[in-house]
Amino acid sequence: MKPLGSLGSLGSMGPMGPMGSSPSSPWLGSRLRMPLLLLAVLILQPVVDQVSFAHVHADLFLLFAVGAGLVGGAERGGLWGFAAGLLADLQPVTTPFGLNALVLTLVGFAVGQGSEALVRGPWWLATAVTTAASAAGTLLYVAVALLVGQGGMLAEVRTVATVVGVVAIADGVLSLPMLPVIRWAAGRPRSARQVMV
Amino acid sequence: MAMYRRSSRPLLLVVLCVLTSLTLITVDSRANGGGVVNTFRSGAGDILAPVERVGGTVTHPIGNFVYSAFHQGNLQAENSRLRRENQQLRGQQLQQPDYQNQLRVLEEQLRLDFATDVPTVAAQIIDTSPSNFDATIVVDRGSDNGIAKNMPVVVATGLVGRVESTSSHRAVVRLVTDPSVHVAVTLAQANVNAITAGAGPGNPLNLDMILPGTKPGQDEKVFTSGLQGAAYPKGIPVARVVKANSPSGADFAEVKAQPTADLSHLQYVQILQYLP
Repeated sequence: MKPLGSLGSLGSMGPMGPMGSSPSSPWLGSRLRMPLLLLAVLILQPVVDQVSFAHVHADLFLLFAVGAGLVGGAERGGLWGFAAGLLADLQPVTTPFGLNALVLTLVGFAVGQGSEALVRGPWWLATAVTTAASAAGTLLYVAVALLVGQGGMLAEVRTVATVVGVVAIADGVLSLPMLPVIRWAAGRPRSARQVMV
Repeated sequence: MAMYRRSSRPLLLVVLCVLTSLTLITVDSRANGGGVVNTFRSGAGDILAPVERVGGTVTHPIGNFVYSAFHQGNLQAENSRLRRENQQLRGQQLQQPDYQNQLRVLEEQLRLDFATDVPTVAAQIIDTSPSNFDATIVVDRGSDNGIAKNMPVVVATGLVGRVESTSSHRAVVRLVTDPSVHVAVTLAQANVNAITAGAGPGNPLNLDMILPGTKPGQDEKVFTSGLQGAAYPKGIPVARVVKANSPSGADFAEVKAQPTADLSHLQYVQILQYLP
């Protein structure tokens, strides 16, 4: 087998260095760009909040964690998910501090694990994965919230289903512009993720 | 053919993140709204609050700047001063209806016909919750302004919610539509007591504990009863009945009521300095 890209370095300190950066994209650059992108997510989330369907809006923090997992692999996905979660926990939410961090760490890690098994596919595959991962991530949030005694914040099952559905679709749509940005921030062009044998 | 390869690097950092998250959740839950974690969170909120205010203020001049840039790009030097003056006048003319509208909204939302003996603090909405499961808003008044947890929040048309947490300069208000908010109410015409239960943003409230056979009228007004340890002053409008049904064999009637306050278009609220 002869890898043509750097998928093998996803989530690991591969031959191209941490985050799988290419030689033309130094690690230091990626390390600066990802925090800056996370800061942009923080600033943009209130804007996204204004665009809602059935009182539900896209979740940029979740999308960031999913994208980081897709692009960076399991370990990086988990770490960036944790960072995004901590930032989400600093927002005016009434859930315990750390709840978002836990959920987004697990989401980023799980998506990263899956991304390592991602076969070379059509362009829409990443969007489909993001949609499914956003739905799963929202359900995981609900499950963890119930486990830590936050069941009171959950309304009827129908409402939860609406949130899961809208977030999944909205994040899936937003992944079209977001994933290339995350790839750029991580210094990982799309072609670098594909490995042929 | 594609391949995949699992990382051999220990995932110690990810495990550490999970453990850290679990520790934070535990510490915050045990502190029950206090403690170091909450202090840190409040501090971060106070830091963000001025940024949010500035952000809102900044957008208006940017709009004016873009407007000016488009209309002054190729002007000759001798005409620029006159055109700027002209645009300033036009801008003022355009802004005037907006000011009038804001004033009208402010007057409508702050003129209370209930709880008139309770001191109030007017506050502006500066943020909404980023979580889809949190029916909360953030206002620009906090403990420095005499705001405390559990104080009722209202507008002229009725109950908005109650203060969930405060920091020095802002407060998080949990809306009446949040599933965890329950308000003791009285149906004005049917003269029965009930408890509201939120069903999430945009959904009508459920009125629980109403015995079968009770027939609330359509659009019947629902007010705070002053019971429930008087968590809310008596007589605050809460909702209007939109649906009532008494299924056979059920212990209680199914009654739904729409909040009287338009919770999706709030700009200003009044916080009643009232504690049980």
